[in-house]
Amino acid sequence: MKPLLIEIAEHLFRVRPAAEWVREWLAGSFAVRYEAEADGLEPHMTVDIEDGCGVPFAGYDVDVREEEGATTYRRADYFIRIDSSFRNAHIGVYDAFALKHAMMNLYSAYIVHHSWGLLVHSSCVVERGRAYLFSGYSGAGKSTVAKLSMPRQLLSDEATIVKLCGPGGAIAFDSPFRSELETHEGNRSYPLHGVYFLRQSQQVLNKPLSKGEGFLCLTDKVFYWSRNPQETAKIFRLCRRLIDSTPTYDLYFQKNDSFWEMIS
Amino acid sequence: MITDAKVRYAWKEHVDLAELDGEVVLFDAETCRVTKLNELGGLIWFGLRDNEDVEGIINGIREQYDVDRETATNDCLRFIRQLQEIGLLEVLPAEA
Repeated sequence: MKPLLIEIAEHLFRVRPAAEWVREWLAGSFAVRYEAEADGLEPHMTVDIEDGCGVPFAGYDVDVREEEGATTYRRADYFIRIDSSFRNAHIGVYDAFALKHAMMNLYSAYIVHHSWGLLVHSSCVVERGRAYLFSGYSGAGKSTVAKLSMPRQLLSDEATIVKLCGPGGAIAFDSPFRSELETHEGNRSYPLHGVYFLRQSQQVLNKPLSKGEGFLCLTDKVFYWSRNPQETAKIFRLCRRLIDSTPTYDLYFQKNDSFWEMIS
Repeated sequence: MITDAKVRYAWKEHVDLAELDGEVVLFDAETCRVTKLNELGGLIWFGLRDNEDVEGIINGIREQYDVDRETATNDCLRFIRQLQEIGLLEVLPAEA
């Protein structure tokens, strides 16, 4: 089957699906670059994907092991094997739900390995050319905030791709890892202007956080599956770079769009 | 209980630290646990970072907070014990 070139933020993946439904799902979920368009571009990683693996979803726990020059991530409904060079990966999935999570897992591992950036559990909205990230646990209101923010451009409603750019700050990219709101507008990116931790409330209040408080709130909102302490330490440093470059807030909000008055 | 005021400590190898505008945050890369220190904890951390022994750190607490030796000692030792219990800190071998 013909390979696909898919683009996620600044990264190009050459994907070789073994099944037609996998190919269709990828083509519908990611920005696809055609061979001619990508001529001369070297893919960052080649990924083989097979189906018919594992069993139906049984929980989010992922078993991570380093063995024989590769790292293996294994969940009941998927596995990923990434070679130590981070140039080749092999994925096996049970269904489309497993494939989505496996791709998130793979991409998070890739960008952390290269200390490029983070995948943050959040929605992200653009206002006047600036990106605002709204983070929280499941049920905190990420999707609600995304819906209430329409018609502003939405970069993500579940997992925001954040690139750390040194002292200059952070950039948020359009994310293909969506929950329900599909509004892809290509691989656009915007400077990240604030990180808001969501607190549903009867009040509307925007409380600035100290860097230490913001750091504490941020670290457990990052999608990451630890494979060894050295790699995990990269998360700490990436979070620190994000906190150093971007202000953080507790955002107490009602279920209407009045919170935007507190932000912009 | 730690009783030797000349004991020195070091952070475990897998512990990373960040100073963020005067606040100290610890990260245990083995457990992914993040700990933010309060003001007293930060003061003790700066002492440990500067390789002070316990006696020197206690003196620093007394200067900063104007407390008696017993209070400063108890606070310091309790904090160090907590850090040891959660695997962040270890005792350095005695100097020859």
